Amino acid sequence: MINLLKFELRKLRQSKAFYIIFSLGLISITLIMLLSKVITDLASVLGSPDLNATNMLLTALSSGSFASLMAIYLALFACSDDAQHTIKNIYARGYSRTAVYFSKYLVSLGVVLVMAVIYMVYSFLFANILGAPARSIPAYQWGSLALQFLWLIGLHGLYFGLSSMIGRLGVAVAVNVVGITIVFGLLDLLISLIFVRVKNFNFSIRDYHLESVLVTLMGNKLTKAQLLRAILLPIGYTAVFVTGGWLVSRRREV
Amino acid sequence: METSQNHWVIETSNLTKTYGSKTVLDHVNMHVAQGDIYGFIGKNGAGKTTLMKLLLGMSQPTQGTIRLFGATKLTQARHQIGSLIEEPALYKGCTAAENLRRFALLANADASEIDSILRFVGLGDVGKKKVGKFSLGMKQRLGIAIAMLGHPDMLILDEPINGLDPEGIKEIRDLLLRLNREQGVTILVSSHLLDELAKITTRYGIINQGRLVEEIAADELMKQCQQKLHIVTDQPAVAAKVIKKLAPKAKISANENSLDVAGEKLESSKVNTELVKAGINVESITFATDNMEDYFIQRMGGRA
Repeated sequence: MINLLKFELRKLRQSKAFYIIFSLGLISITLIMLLSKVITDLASVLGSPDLNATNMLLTALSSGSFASLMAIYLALFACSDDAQHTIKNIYARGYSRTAVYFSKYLVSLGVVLVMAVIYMVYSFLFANILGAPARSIPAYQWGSLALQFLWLIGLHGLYFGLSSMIGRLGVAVAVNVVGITIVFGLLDLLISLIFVRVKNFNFSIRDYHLESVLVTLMGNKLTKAQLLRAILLPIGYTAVFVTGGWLVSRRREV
Repeated sequence: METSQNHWVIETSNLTKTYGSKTVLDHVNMHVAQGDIYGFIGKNGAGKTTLMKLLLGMSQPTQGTIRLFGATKLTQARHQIGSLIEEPALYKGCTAAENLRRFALLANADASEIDSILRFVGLGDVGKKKVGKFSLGMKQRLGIAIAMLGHPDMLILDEPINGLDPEGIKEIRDLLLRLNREQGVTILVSSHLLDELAKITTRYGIINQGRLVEEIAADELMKQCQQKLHIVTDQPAVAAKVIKKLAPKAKISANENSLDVAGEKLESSKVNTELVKAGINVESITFATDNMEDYFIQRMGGRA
């Protein structure tokens, strides 16, 4: 397992895709913060300034294109050895499929978590540079920050597991970036058509999409139901998709 | 770890692989001994690559067992194997040295091996050229270099001389012979180039339509190919019966007006006497030298 982790980290260090995606994330955050600054300056004329470093730190993952970039990056990471057929060399050297899969899982999870921390710290520092220092925030928002990391683990599990199940680079990128949203949209439509005659029917499958969890975390204090969803959904997504990817990769012929 | 008591480094028992209703490998019992250069021969689609993939864990058998180095714990045993299956799997955006550095981590190989291996396979001067710009022959050499990382005890090579020019073929042949003779590396190698295989192989396995038709030592094969009695007669079928009584273990192949008898040492005069006694008109009896290629083609089910 140690050899596999070293192998994955070496590939990562030399991966152009990784540096491009990481830079795009920073550029995206920078542009959004500059835009926020302009809007805030305009709004301050009207007496409602809202830009501050703490807020920028808390919204770093939701304000940019973080989720989309992760969707692309994790598809590339999970499928690159399958796409280049180099996975043959790895299996043939006597590494179990489980060890190969989970070494990729651990390295990519580490990368995603580190990237998130860097984006948050960058947002905080850049906001200070823009003249928007930190402000004290309610305690529950720090709890939301912790839940954002849980959300991130769920998002990683979804994109990594799904990409591993698909095993083909182009298809995995497409499914991660737009496929999941399309599926939720279609399911939502289908469910509302089926239950169109039911009075007071207010179930929405979209509430179970990880995107909606992040939106909830950005809002006010969570209700009990929202808190449960914010905890259980990432765990559920991780369990289902990481296990699915593992089972498929164990059986795949290379 | 469960181990077998014999000297086989590869031993399969009833190894079978099916895809749906199609049987690609059918109860294969293969035996490769320590120090062998085992030439694995068969037509395209006969099952050579599938068997190699099963040995290396790239595919799972439907039925049967595999022992590597006498052990059934295959992932551990595979640490001692270097391989090249189908076309070389390489990181095309990297240099040859970087490809080796990456795979050296998996093979527990020392980084100092890399330069010498590159020189060994004739890629010592490729510098920073990206692998994506390599010719097929260069990729093939790099694939072999990757297989050699970590001083494996066994190499499994699927068509390793594909795409190589005559000089390259000779270099790879010499390389395999050196690895086998100097370092005792066991080699399982498949190739369509029978003449090339014949120059290095110590033992052959012939596969046809998923079945391992025959395993034969190279020297035994040479004997079989040399001892063939060619009889011209107008009654080959009757003659075959007479000869079968005379030499029950002989391999007889009858044509329209002749028959070939191989596998047993026979005196032509005795055969002639017996055939004449049986009332068969014998036009001629000669000793012929069989062609090794014909032997394989016959075992592989005739010409494609």
